[in-house]
Amino acid sequence: MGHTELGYLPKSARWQVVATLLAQPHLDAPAVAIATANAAQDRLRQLRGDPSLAYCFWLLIRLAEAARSPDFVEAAARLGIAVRSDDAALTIIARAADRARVELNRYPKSGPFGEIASLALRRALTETVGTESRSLFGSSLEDLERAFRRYSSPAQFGTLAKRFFGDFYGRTLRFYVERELQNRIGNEGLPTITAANTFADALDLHARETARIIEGFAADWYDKHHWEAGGAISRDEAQGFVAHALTKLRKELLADAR
Amino acid sequence: MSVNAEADTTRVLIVCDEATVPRDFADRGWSTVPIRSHGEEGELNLRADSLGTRFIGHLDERANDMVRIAAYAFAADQLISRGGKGDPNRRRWRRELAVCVPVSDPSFWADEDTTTALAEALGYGTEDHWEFAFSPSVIGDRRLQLGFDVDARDVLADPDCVALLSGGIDSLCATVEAVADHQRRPVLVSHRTTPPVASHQQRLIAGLETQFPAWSFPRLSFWIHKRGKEAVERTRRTRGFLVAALGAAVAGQVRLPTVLLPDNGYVSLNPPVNAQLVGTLNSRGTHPTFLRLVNRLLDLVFPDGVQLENPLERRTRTEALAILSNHGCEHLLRETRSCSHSRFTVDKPHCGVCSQCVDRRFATVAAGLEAFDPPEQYEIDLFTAPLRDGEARVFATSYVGHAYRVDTLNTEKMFSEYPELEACLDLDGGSIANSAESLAGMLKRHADEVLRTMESMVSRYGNDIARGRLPATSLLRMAVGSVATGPVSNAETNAARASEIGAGERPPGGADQPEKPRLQRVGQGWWVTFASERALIHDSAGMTRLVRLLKAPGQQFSALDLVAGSSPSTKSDKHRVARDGSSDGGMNAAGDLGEMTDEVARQEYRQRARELEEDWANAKASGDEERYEQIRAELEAIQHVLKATTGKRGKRRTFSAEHERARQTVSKTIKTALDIIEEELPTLRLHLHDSLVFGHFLTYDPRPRLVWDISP
Repeated sequence: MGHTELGYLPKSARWQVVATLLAQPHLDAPAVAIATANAAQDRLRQLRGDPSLAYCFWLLIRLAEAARSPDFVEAAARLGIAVRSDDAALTIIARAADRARVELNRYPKSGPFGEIASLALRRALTETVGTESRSLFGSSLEDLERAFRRYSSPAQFGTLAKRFFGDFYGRTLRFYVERELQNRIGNEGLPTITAANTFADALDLHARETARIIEGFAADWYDKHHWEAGGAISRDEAQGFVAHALTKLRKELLADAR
Repeated sequence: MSVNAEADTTRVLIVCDEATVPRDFADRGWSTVPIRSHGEEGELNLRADSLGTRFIGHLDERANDMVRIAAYAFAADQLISRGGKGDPNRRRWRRELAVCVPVSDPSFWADEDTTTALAEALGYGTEDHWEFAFSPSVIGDRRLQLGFDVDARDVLADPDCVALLSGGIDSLCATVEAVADHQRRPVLVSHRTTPPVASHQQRLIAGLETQFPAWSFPRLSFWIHKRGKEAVERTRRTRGFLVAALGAAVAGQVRLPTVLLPDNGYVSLNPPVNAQLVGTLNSRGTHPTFLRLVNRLLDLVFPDGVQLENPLERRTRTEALAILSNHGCEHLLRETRSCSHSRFTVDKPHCGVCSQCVDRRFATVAAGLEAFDPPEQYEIDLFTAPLRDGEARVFATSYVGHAYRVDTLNTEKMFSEYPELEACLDLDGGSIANSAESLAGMLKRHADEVLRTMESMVSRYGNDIARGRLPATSLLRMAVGSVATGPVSNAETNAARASEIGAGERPPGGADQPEKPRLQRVGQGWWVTFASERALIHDSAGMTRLVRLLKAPGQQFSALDLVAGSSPSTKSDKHRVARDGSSDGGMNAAGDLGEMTDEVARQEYRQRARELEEDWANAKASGDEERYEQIRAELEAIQHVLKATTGKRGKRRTFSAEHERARQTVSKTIKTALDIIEEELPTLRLHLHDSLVFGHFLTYDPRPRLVWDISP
């Protein structure tokens, strides 16, 4: 077993821009990010209506909302996540991820972006618990509830949304760029394997910083919709947010180019 | 194939052995792929061989159904494309498959729990969306009965478990451990795809029989493979399910509770060493979640209890190899095969650069067993040979790069960086923290083995590295960097490629040199070539002005000159000015357009000049000529600006309205041309963004210096 299916960048002009930038003596993460977003623009535009991405973001929202309910276990059960009162925080995150796995299998048209969305969800959940607790592994159900309760206020929700979309965008960029990046190791701009790792990190960081643009309007959006939906934001509403967030991310990236 | 226009999803109806197609499936209008396991034109070969000849019976009906379902899925998987490697978005990687299968017990298979368990297991292993419709097979139709002729001697030997034997290192190690350490008596089950695979498996078994004469190593092998036309899809993500089904069917038949499905822990997880490897782009044939989902199905199919177990799930391949050393079986390594590319040449059975070969090579070196797995058995030496673009270079460097990353992470950070790992935890077992620590510990040990192997290879080839004798695209050079020679050249890459395909010739000199930036006037437009991009751009006032700038890198043009189409300003031009276009200023109360540079800017220039003077002295003292020249050029430019923007007795110069109109006209027209360029030549647009200076005076100032070939 243990097989891998590696790909390569197409020979079209837009993708060759990415390849060319990766061959430069001084690698510029923002420029590579822009060129990648430009080359993949059709697919990125489609993702605004992607059901997997919307589901993962919706689940993140609803878990935050569940932390405010009087009975988190029951609220999680309504989301299809069977939480036990003695579960560790990491177990609950893994159960949420397993729920997402089942749901996302229904949407093959998401392609690899379904899994990327699922990873962004898990990363956002893990970071949130890890940031608010002493340790990810030592945290209990109560610690997880406390952490998510804190992020269910409008202001803090913006941070949660930024984490999710920053991770999603970073993984998306690297999903494309790392088909070519390693081919350039040994060039002046990427003298070693370590340099390639460092550049990948820079690209990831750039995506996360770009996602700051989402933070402010996510807070306003959550404030409005949480109130209107009575604490149960729908998947359609989450889909609307995803579409808007991806548009803003793209515009922010391109603004860097000007 | 039916392709969904919205997202290019491939949707196929698969009809197996003339099964009934329900209306719900038929009405979808999907493309249909038939799969027949009988007849001369059948798509699927399905046969069980035995070592003996005595017939003892057939498989239990449900077990037989499960193997057939797995075999149909295996055939369908290869008949329906996932889109190929060149699809940048992998839009067609995941497919929607509706499968109609004849089975002996339709009511059992159509039960929601069974269908869900089946679809989930296959779905996780393949990331395809599977739906099933089951219909009764023709009673007594022996064509649908999987022949299962078992040698009586094998069964009477009283086995106590089933062990899947692929012929690779891990299955050998697990079998030796089962027999030598745990005194178990496994029936070996193999999936035979090609005759060479079978002969290697047979030689391995012969070696085991010699080494451990107390056990007879009964073996069952199954010939299950696609027949007829060439497979359109070679990734075969259904193979894990097929192998598991075969092992479970045998275990159910011989009433054994355990099926050993060995794969070392690292390969079983198949962690994403490269960010493009998302989901099943990394195979999941022995992934812990996959085994859990298959076991859920087996609970339903075999109520007496048959479960898959990976005895190596928390061990690296290096650690598994210790089993061979402990029992004096190292020599059997030579008979094992790992290569993903199924190479079966006698002298070089391993390609050396696929994911399996890379992990094998690192593991045998780290385990101190290189003598039994010498580099000569590999087509390409992973550490010292040039690695060509694509799989060879990308996987090897990603594998080592992943080890670098993991080596620096503690357990918590590892789970944060790689959330994929959460799926491997046993949620309903013991302590989740212990499970996480155990998993992370295995990955850390693997990273350590990889890095120790790199250290030992750097030490072995230290002289060659230091003297630049290793190719720049060898793994060792890419790990330690350029010690004695320059960066990778295109010629070197081509040489690697030529060497690999056996051309044995040097590439023609200069053939791969990047094309020079070029502007060619054709009729009413310009052919523009830049960084492998080429486009025809219509002529315009902005384009004409842009071309003038590109013709003279580093030279300043006043906007007035560009509007008039006259020659660039000379040194005596009294309005030569700063690079900083933002200091143009607005109309002031006196009716002119403000000072050419403001006081803040002038102070910044002076400060910068002082810093440069210090650097200049240092560069001069250290003999750094390149830096010295850079500083000198920048100092000259600043002094020039300060002089140009200051009139007699230190009075600051101002712009006229005429200058401002010219600035606006030139900026607007050039930026319109740039918008057109952005559509056609995005790399050039980025380059010009960095290199053009706008304002009352315009400059094209590329860094590093670039000269265009412009004609006429």
